[in-house]
Amino acid sequence: MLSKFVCTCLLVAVSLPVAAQSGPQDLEQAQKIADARAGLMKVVGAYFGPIYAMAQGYTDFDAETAERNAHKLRELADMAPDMFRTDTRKFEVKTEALDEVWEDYDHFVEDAEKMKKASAALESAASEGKDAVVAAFQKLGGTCKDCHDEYRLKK
Amino acid sequence: MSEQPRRLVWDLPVRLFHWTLTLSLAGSWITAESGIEWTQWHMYLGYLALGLILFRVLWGFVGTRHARFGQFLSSPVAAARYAATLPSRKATRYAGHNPLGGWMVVLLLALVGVQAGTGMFISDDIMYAGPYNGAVSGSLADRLSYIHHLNFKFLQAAVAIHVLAVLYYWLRKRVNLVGPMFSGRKDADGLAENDAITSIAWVRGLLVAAIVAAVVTALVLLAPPPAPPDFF
Repeated sequence: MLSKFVCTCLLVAVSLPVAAQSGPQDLEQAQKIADARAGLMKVVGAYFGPIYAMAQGYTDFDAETAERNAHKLRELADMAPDMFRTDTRKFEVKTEALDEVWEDYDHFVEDAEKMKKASAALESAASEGKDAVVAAFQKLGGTCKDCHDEYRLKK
Repeated sequence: MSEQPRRLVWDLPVRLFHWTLTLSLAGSWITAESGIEWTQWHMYLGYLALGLILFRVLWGFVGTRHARFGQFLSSPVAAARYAATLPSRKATRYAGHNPLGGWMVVLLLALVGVQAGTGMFISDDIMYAGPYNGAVSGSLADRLSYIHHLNFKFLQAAVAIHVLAVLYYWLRKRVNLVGPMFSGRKDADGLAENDAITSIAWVRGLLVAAIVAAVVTALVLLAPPPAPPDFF
């Protein structure tokens, strides 16, 4: 019966983010959520940077790095809908996320899906050489811009 | 229809400047909204706008009569007095800009100048950066980026007022301001004979344009190389 108990606990833990959709209870909690999603975007930048560097000729083209980083970017794109789901609009958090994110969250998820597809395309372009990578990278960058234009604070 | 006598008031550089700026502003807006594959064109159009503003400022000193700041800038009192006559259907004829129009020229030049100028320093945080982005700190670039986005709203408002004013003159005062901006000529009615300029000044215009083009090209090409990306 112990195993059943563990299973139940796990089930509860896994469903917690869903159950917590009632939202953060105070500013501190909301800020943690905002920091986490900003962190996700920073990690995206970290994996994006090396491909940018080789596309611009700062570094030599390296198919392996391109493929590996594109793969990570696809995984990060997969996390975006999780990390942005919690609505923090009620609190005065420090964030660059605009209210538009939660005004039509399904649309936000669709946009994240575009980043995922573009990352996957970049991953498979890696074996086709630099030109293919640069072209696919440009498309991936386009999904960044489309999303930022809509959902990110214009600093 | 009898041929109305007309007087040349806008030299060729003023007219070319006006419509090229119109196209560059429209193009800048469209390319900013059309996805990242247009960002490079957005930057080219920004260089063009910067060059146009530099050109017009110089032309405000060395251009033909009605193109000069000294000729069309009036005191705030005169501008206010003129503003008071706006509701009237009657139009006072001006060979060049009327007192309010003159200040609108300055406002538009300033707004486009700020827009193009800030654009030189900012980046999209993705893969494009103005030529001087690497020359400023990230936080300064962020502030300039904020100004770039905010100033665009002011620019839109100023352009809207400009266009509405031209429509107002057309519909209420029966003055066509658009035609002369193409032909350079205004109806002689109400204008003195010596209001006319004697040359379209294209040679002088070409000379100033060549200097400005060289300056802007040098500004872009001789910019310090951008800082390498944060992560390698």
